[in-house]
Amino acid sequence: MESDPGGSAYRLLPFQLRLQGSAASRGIAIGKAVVLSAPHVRLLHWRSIAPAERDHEIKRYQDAQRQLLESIRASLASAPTIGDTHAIIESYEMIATDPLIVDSIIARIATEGMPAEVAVSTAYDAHIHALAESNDPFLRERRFELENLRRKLVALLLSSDKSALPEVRNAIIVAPSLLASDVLHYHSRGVQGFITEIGGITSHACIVARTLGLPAVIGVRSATTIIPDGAEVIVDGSRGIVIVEPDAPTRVHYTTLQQEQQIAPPTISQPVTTADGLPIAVYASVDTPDDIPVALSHGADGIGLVRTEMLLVRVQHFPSEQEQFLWYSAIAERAYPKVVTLRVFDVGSDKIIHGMPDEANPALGLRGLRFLLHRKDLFRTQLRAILRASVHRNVRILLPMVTSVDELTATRDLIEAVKAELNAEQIPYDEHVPVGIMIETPAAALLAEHFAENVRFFSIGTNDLTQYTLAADRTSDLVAHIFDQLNPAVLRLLQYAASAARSRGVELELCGDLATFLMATDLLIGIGIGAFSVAPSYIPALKERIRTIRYNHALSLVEQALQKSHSAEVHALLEQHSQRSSHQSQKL
Amino acid sequence: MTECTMIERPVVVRNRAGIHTRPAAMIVKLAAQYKSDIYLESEDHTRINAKSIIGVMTLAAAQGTVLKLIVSGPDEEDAAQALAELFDSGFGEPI
Repeated sequence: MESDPGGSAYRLLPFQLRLQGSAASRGIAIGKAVVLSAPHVRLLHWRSIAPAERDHEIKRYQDAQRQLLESIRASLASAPTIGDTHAIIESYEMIATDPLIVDSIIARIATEGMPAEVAVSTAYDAHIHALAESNDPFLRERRFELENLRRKLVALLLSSDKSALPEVRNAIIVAPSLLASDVLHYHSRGVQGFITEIGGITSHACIVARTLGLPAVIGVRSATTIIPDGAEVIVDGSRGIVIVEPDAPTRVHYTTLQQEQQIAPPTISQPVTTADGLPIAVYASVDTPDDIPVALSHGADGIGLVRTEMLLVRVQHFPSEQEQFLWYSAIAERAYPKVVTLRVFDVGSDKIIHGMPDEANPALGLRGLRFLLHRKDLFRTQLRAILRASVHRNVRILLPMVTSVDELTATRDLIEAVKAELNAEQIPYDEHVPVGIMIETPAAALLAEHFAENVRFFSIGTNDLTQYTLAADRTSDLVAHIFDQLNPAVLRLLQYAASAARSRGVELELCGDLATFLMATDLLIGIGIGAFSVAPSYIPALKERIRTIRYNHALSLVEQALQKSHSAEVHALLEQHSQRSSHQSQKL
Repeated sequence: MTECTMIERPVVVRNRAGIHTRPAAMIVKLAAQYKSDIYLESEDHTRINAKSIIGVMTLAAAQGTVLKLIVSGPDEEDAAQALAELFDSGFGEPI
């Protein structure tokens, strides 16, 4: 039954064993070790199933197959009816039930005695390899669908195998490495601490462990082979020490220490404030409805940016109002009651769709809002779809690439016209749907006070703002040394837009790459950024960083940074500042 | 089992995009509705089961390809007719 070669070969140790790793997340956890070996180990080292048990093994495969089909059908039921989505999901079902594959899996179990997961893996592999060698690009790409199905089926089989998914409540997970999503998953099932063989203390998994207050020690060499499954282990996440089968005095010592250190950990979804109490929102930037659950599980306070143009890239035609409505509604409903910011199609520059003019300088051409105002038919369709999706009152509209107040006025007129249509048709929507603009051109930053009178929020796009301010193409390697989002010229524009926003009560947000550069977080908060929008995986780290910031220090940092004459000085200042504050936090 | 004759008839891939995922799925879905054994054979005599999506996709039949449709079983006439019509329709795609 047991196909894992590592687990059974060792006995629990006669003596206490002490292992050194790196301190990744502080606190003390005591529990039984659950040792996870990598799936590939299980697939490589398998023992033949006894003939009498093969029927049972075939049934295991069939059960997993049934679960897979159920999940495919469930996703079919909830999938937006856009383009070929349905047909593609249906083809998944057909591949999974393909007689070629099903017969070959059953034959492998029945005649060769392969464990079900090995039979599935090898049967799919045979076809995947054949497809990968095909001359036809269409067929070569089909292998990804097979790989996806194989992975799901193997995961279902491994999780249905009781030896592969033991009870983990109050346990300590010992694994080669872990993903942030694994940490979240095990936490929800009652795991107390983590030990891994590899990983860096700044990895997302460790950040999540710290956020959840789960003790973790990483970099413990060969932990999965040294630590016997089921052994009692102590994780000292503050000192990076693991003690296996502790003797009585050690256990007493650590139990006492653990009780002294009991502190309520902040939950991952808790809103965050700076160390001195200024609330800062951390939003997720996403592309599709499927990204929403991921964003929420990483603790997003809302969705600060939905790049709706990704829908165009996906469907390869201009989607109808109904297609768009379903897509936006799926996003708004999944995030509800949290806010969702739909940025209207930002095409042009590096995202070209069919039918756009060929320009010598697309970054300076008909892109973003300019394109939409040029094609009001398309813009009107999108605005109708967005307004219809706003019915739950958690939708905001964001306009990209704005340079003049006229463009904002024209857009507001169009929104009003669409609202009048919806009123006439008695279609419900949010009358007070907030409208905001991207501050991503120097013109928008310099005219911020005029824009501020007509919008509810500004979202600063640092990538484009930097490109236009420094006249440096952000995709060109040759001017990469000039392109720097912390250039004092960019910071001055930020500061200028921030003061206009502050004086008129407009919310100021930032959604560029700069938001993920954690050394600059205090500077940005000092400038006046009240919300950041980042890829979901960055959220825990950013929240952790915000909790360490003191607003007063941030303000004085801004003053110094704005005096600098070039990028390198700003970077040096931030480095110096972050070293000083990490010394301070170590003293605490 | 009734006595099995066999129907063989040529079919042509008429749509511009050839047999990609969507048409392949249509063929398999239709074939699965019949009890008969249904095969498609390419000019190099590769014969695949029309109820197997991997088989049908592996044909990689481009526009203009002529395939031999081979049907054998209790409902072979209906099956052959239905599949031939599906090919003729170009799978509802631009021709």
